Amino acid sequence: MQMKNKKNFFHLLVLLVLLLSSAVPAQADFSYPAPAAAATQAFNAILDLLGINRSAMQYGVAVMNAAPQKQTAPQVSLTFTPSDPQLGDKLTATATPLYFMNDTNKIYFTWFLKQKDCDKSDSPSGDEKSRCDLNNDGRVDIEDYKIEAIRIIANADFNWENADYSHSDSNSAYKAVFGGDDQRGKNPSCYIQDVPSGNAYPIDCNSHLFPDAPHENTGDGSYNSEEEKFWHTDPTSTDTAQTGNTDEANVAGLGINTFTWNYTPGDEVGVVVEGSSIEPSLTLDGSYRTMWAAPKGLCSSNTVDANTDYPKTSTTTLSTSIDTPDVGETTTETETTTQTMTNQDGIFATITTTIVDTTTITNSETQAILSQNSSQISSSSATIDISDDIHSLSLKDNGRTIQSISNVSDLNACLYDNLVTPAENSPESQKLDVSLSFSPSSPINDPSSYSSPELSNGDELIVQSSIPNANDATYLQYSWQVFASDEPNPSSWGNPLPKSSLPNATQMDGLGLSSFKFKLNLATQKKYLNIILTAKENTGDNLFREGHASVLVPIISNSNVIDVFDTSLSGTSDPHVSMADEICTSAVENAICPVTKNSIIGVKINSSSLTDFFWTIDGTPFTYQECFFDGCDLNKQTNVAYFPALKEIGDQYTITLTATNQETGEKVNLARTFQVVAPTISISSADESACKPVLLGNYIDMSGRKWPDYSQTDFMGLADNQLTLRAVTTGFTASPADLFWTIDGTTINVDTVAASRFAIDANGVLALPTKQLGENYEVSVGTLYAQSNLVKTALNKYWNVPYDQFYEKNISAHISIQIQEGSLPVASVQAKKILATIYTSTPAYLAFLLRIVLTISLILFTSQLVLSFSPI
Amino acid sequence: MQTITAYLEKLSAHKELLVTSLVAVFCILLSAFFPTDNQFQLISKNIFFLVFLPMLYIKLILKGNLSDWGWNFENKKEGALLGALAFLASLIIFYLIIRFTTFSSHYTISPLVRNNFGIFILYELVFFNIFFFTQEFFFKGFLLFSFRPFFVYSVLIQAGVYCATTFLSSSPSLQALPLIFLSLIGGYVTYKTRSFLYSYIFGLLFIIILDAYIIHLVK
Repeated sequence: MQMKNKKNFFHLLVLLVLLLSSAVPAQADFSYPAPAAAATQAFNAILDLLGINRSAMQYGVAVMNAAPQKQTAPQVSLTFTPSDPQLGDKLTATATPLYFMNDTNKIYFTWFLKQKDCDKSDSPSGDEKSRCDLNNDGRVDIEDYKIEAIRIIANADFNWENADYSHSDSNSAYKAVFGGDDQRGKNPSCYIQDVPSGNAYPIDCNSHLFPDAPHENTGDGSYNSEEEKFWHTDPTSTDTAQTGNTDEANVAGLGINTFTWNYTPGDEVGVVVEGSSIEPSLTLDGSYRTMWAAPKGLCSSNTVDANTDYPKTSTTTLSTSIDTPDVGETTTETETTTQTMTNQDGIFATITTTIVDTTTITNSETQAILSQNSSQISSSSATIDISDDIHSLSLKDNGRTIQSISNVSDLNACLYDNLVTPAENSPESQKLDVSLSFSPSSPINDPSSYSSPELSNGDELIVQSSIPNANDATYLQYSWQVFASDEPNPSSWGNPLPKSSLPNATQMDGLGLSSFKFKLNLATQKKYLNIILTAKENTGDNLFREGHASVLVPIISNSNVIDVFDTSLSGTSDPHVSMADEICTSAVENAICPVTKNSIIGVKINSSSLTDFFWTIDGTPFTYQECFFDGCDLNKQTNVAYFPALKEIGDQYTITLTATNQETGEKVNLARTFQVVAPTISISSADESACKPVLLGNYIDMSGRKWPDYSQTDFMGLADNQLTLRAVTTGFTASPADLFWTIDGTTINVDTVAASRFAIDANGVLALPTKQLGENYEVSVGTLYAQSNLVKTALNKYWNVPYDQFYEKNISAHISIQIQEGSLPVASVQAKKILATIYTSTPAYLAFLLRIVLTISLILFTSQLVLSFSPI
Repeated sequence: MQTITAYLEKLSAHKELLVTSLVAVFCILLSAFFPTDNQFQLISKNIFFLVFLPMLYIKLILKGNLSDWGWNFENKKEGALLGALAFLASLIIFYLIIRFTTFSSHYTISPLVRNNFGIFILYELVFFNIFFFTQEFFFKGFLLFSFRPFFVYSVLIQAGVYCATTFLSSSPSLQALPLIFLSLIGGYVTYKTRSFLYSYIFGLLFIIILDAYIIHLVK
C-alpha cells in the first residue's frame, strides 16, 4: 500500500510540473535573469525606491574619484619695491606664501641671489670663481646663489671683517623642523605635487633646502664659529640681523619673507618656501604634508605638455618553421599587440588593445620577405588607470622629472628656473607712462594768414606732456609728430606733417622737449590733428624704456576776420553813419586797436557764407535805439555794427561776433580788442631815403627777434635833398586842413603854405627845401582834436551821451632834423667787445660823470702844475 | 738872452692870467664838444664845465674867493639901480626891435612852451634858468673878473668870447640877439657892481617877459 502511495505521489508531482509548465507559456515574457543582472536590477530598484537620481550619483562619485587630483598646492608670489630699480637702489623682494598651513613667521624662506656674470658653471675660473663660487666647491651653482642672499640677510651690515671669530656665543644655534617651526614633534612627511596631474608624490625628507657652510649643516642645532665666520654674523650676538630669531634660524630663513639688497642691473633673485600644506598626510598621525613652493613652481610642466607611454606596441614570435613551405624558405608567425590611448581624463583613459597575427615567409638565406599575411585576431577597449604611465617632462636644463625627484635635495635642480628680475616681475615698469594735454581747449586755425603769421588770428596750440615714472624728464628723448585728418578715427592718419608746415613750431625731436607748440595758421583745413609723442629713456646697459601717447585735437578753421573802420557821418539832425577808412591793419594794432574817446567805430565781417550774426560788446549784445546806418535791422543783427568809445583812456572794449557758416553749419567765433587812447599826433618821414628818425637801439623780444627803436624827436636828413614829412595821428583821423606846421619858427597850413617856401600836397605831406650840411630844421605840427557836431549829435541821439561830455584838445609834436651828408645809417647792432660791454653795462650817467670828473681833475692838476712851475 | 729873460719875467708875471685863459678856453671847448647822449647829460656838462670847473679852479688853484669873482650881493644899491635901468633899457630896446623888425617871427619858442602856461613857467624858471645862470657865472663871473686887469675892456672881452662861441656853435640868427645884448649890458652892470648876480636877475626877468610878449604876439 505504501509503495502504491509513493508511486501515486510521484505521478502527481510530475503532473503538477507538467501542468505548471504548460501554464508558464501563458506568461511568455517572463524569464529568470542572470545573477549579476539580477543584482543590478535589484540595486536600481532600491535607488528608485529611495528616489536617488542615478546620474547625479554617478557624477558625485566621479567628483570623489577626481578629488585627490584637485588638491591645492602651496604657492608663493614675489613682488619688488621699487618696481623699476636703478643701479644702487635698495631693492626689496617680498615673498607672499599661499595655501600653507603655518603662519608666515614659522615658514622657512630660502632666498637665492644670482648676480650678473655669475652664471651656473661646473668649472669656473679666475675672477668668476673668486666672485661667484662662495662655498669654494669648484662650481657655481644654486648653493652659491643661496649663500649670496643669506649672507646679506644674516649679516645685516655687520662689520664682520673686523670681528673676532676665535670663539662664538653658544646661543645662535637653531634646530630646523620639516614643515615649519610649528611642526615640532611630528613625523616629517615630505611631498611634491605635479601640477598637471594634480597628484602629490611622497619624497624622502633627506634634508632641507637651506644653504650650508662647508662641512656644516644649517638648522642642525649647532652653530659654531666657523659658521659665524662663513655667514658673516656677529660672534658676540645671537641675532645679528635682529629678527627675533637666532643667527642659525636666520640662515635657515625662518620667517624671512623679505629680502633687501643693493640692486645692480642684471641681478636675479628667487625664493623657495618650506612649510606645511593645508592637505594632511596619509599617515596615521598628526602630521601634515611638508611641501615647498617657488614663484614659478618646482619642476612643473608649464613649459611642456604632459606625455604618456602610449601608444604601446609589443611583438611576440609565436613560431618559426624552416624550409616551410618550401626548402630555403622560413615561415615565421608573430603576434603584435598594440595599445592606443583615447579619451584621457586625468589618470583614466580608454585603452584599445589590438592583437594582430602575422605570417611572414622569408628567404632563409637573404631574409628577403617573400610573402606576409596579417590578420586581426582581436580588438578590445577598456577604461583603466594609466597614472603609472604618465610622465611630466623635466626642465630642459636639468633633465629632472617629477617622477625622478625622490628626495628634497633633488628640488635644488628646479630652483634655477625660479630666478626672476624686477623687470620680469613687473613688466609695466619697463614702459614709460606718458600722458598729453593741450590748450586752448577749442583751438582755432586761421589758414588765411599762413604766409603772414604775425597777422594770424589762429591760436597757438600748446601740447604738454607728463611722464611721472621717468627717472629724469630732462634726459628723455622726445619725438613729436603731428597728423591731420577730416575724421577723428580714420583708418590711416597718413604721413606726419613736416615741421616746415607748422608755423612757429618749437623743436620736435630732442632731449627734454616736454612741451610742443605751434601756431594754428595751417594751410590745411583738416578738422582734426593727432599729435603723437614718443618718449624714450636710456636706463643704462643698452637698455631703454619707451612710452608713447597721442591726443586728438579738434580744430576749427576760420579765416574770417573782423575789419575795423573809422566812420563818416552825413545829414544834420539825424546823422547817417557809414564806414570810412579801415583802421588797425598793422600787426600791433591787429592785436589791440586804439580808438579815441567819443569816437564812433564801425566793425564789419566780410563773408557771404555766414549768417545769424550776433555781436556783443563786453558780453552785452549790440542794440540800437533806431537805425542810422545802411542795412540796419532793429530785429536782427547784420554783418555790420557800430559802437561808440565812451570809456576812459586806458580802458578796453572786447567785441565778439558769433555767426553760423550756412554751408557747413559750423559756428564761427571771432573777437577784437579795442583800447581807448588819448589822441596823439606824431611826425614821420614820408621818404626815408632822404630823412629818417635816429636809431636809438633795438628791442629784443622773447623769441630773439630785434625790433628797432627809433627816436620820436630826432631825425636825420640828407643835405641837398628835399625832405618830406607827414603827420600821423593815433586814435583819430585829421585832414590836412586841420594841421598847422611850424618850421623854424614859421607857421603854415594848407591855406598859407603858398606864401612860404614850403609845400603841402593834397595828402598833407609837407615838403621842406634843401639845407646844407650842419644845418637843422625844427619842425612842429599841431591840430585841435575835437568831435564834429555830427558826431556829437549822433552820440547824443543814438547813445545818449550828454553834450557836456565832449572836449577839445590841442595836440602837437616836434622834431629836430639834423642835416648830414652821405647815406643815412641802417639799423644795426654792432658787436661789443668785452670791456666795452662792461663799460656800456655800467649806468650811462655814472660813466658820464666819471668822465667829467676825470677831465676836471686833469685840467686842475695841469693848471696847478703849470702855475707852480716858474721859468725863472 | 736878456730879451728872453725879460720875456720870461713878463710871462711869469702874467702866468696866472695865461693859465686862467687856457682854463677858460678848455671850459668852453669842453662844454661845446664833450660827448653827451641826451639832454640831461648836456645840461650836466654845461654845469660842470661852466660852473663847477671854474669854481674849483678859483678855490683850489687860485686859492681865491668866489665873491671876488662876482658871486656876492655887495653894492646892493648900485646893483638894484643899474639892474633896473638895464632891465628897462632892454625892454624898451626890444620893444622897438619887435615893433619895427621881423624879430618876433624869427624868435622861436617851442609850441609846447607856447601852448601850455605850466610848461612855460617850468621852462623859464628851470631849464632856461639853469642855462642862463651857467652862462652868467662863466662869462660875467669867471671870465670878466679873470680879465679885470683890463678894466672895462673885460666887459668887451667876455662879450666877445660869448658872441664867438654863440656864432661858432650855430649859424647866426636873431634867436641869439637877446642874449648877445644881455652879454653887453649885463657885463657892464657886472663890472660896475662887482657882482654878476644882479645882471643874472634882471636878465632872467627880461627874457621871461620877452618870451611872454612874443607868445602873446604869436597867439
